[in-house]
Amino acid sequence: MRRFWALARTAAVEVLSEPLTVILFLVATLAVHALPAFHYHQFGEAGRLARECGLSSLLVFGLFFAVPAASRAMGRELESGTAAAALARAVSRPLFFCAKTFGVSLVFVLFAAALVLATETSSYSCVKGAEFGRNAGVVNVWGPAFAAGVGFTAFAFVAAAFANRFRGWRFCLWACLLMALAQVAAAGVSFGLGGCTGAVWEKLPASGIVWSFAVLSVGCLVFVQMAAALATRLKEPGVNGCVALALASSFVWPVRALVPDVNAFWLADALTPAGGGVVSPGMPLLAGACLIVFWTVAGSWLLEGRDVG
Amino acid sequence: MILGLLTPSAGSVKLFGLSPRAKAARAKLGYLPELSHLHPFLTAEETVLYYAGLSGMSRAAARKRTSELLAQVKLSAAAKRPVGGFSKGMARRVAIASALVAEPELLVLDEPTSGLDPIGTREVKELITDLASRGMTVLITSHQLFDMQDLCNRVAILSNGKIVGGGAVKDIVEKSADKRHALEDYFAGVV
Repeated sequence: MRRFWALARTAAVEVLSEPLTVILFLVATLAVHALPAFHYHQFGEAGRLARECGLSSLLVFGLFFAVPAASRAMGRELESGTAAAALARAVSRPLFFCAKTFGVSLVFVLFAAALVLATETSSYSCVKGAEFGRNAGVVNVWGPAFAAGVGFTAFAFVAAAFANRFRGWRFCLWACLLMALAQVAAAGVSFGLGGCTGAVWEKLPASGIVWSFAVLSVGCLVFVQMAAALATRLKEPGVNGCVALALASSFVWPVRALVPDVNAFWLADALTPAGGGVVSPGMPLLAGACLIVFWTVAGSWLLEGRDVG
Repeated sequence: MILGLLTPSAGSVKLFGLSPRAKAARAKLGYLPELSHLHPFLTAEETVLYYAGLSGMSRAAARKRTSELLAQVKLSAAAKRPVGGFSKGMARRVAIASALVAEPELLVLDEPTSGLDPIGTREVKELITDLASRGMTVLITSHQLFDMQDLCNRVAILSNGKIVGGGAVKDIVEKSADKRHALEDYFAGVV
């Protein structure tokens, strides 16, 4: 396990050390927290815009950052010789592959978790804001939620900058970790102020949001695993080409029971069980998990048969 | 092939009586690549800790060993700096510390002195001599024959994938007219 964690931690630190990770983290969380301000554009449902923004940010992060990062983490290691230096130790190739992809996936999951919390907070303040005008006794938490979401996120960013300046901590890594923690604090403040009870929670599309994020995350993680597996044999442009082809082909897959309804206009509708062509709530997650296992085995096997050096 | 990284097209390699792909064999091995392949975003300390982790060492033991090794390669003062900003000589010393972290029985060094300045070369040579004197087997591949004459007990000359000459360095030097360039003359003679 020590070997696995050493490899996974290094892969995660590598991804978290990239400036683009911090930019995406900051922009996505701030945008989601700021969206309840557009309360006249709810598209018939309070919080819809916030949910779409959260899901779209996750999709962008997954496909345009996590997937290339997984490909780079594997390809660059093999080309630069750091993989050879690691594999010359008592490290098996399947362990190396699994640990590297786990490290990248961990960063993606951290981003997804932060976005889920930001989206829940934002969506909650939208719902409470919409109820405020109609029902007496409802606390409008939009202002405090906005202040907590934007404030805590900005504070985390600045705190990481100060820690870097005065203590030499890695700015990008700590900014991402602190911004993720800031989402927990923002959610706590917003739900606390709003008097979130079981009855209020039921009115929220909370479980729908978590479900949508889970389906989308598993989908992205399939492509993360696929990119890493292909990077054991192909150069980066080849990997990106194959991933793009796989993405394009998902629109014509005749397995509508397994994949989200890609024809749905709203991403949340496409991903939630009631919205699209999903027949069983667990099917997309099960299909995704099977594909992740498939690409893990394939990647390990491809690396096992390759000369490294 | 000794490291289990390349598959031989013919023949076989045994490392401590096992296949080089066997983890038990590679656990007794330390390796220094020709170019110091290091993660530029890790500090010197984190780099050595990373390789200690890959060797399966406990965290406490890894920290103690890392501290000792960084002192040994004279990098304690730069332990918290990212290796991406290191000079070639400093990166080489971090790579050497990483190769030694698991106290290997066999140390494989690929061009250990390439690209180093004279002081760096002398320090690396002293370190190798010290390790060998402590009983560690050191296998070096190099084109720096002058350095190898100082360092090695035995040499093998490889040309087109075949051993075309070799033997004890002491014997080669004794038979040579120019003692200072004995190994270079021997190499030129057999290749």
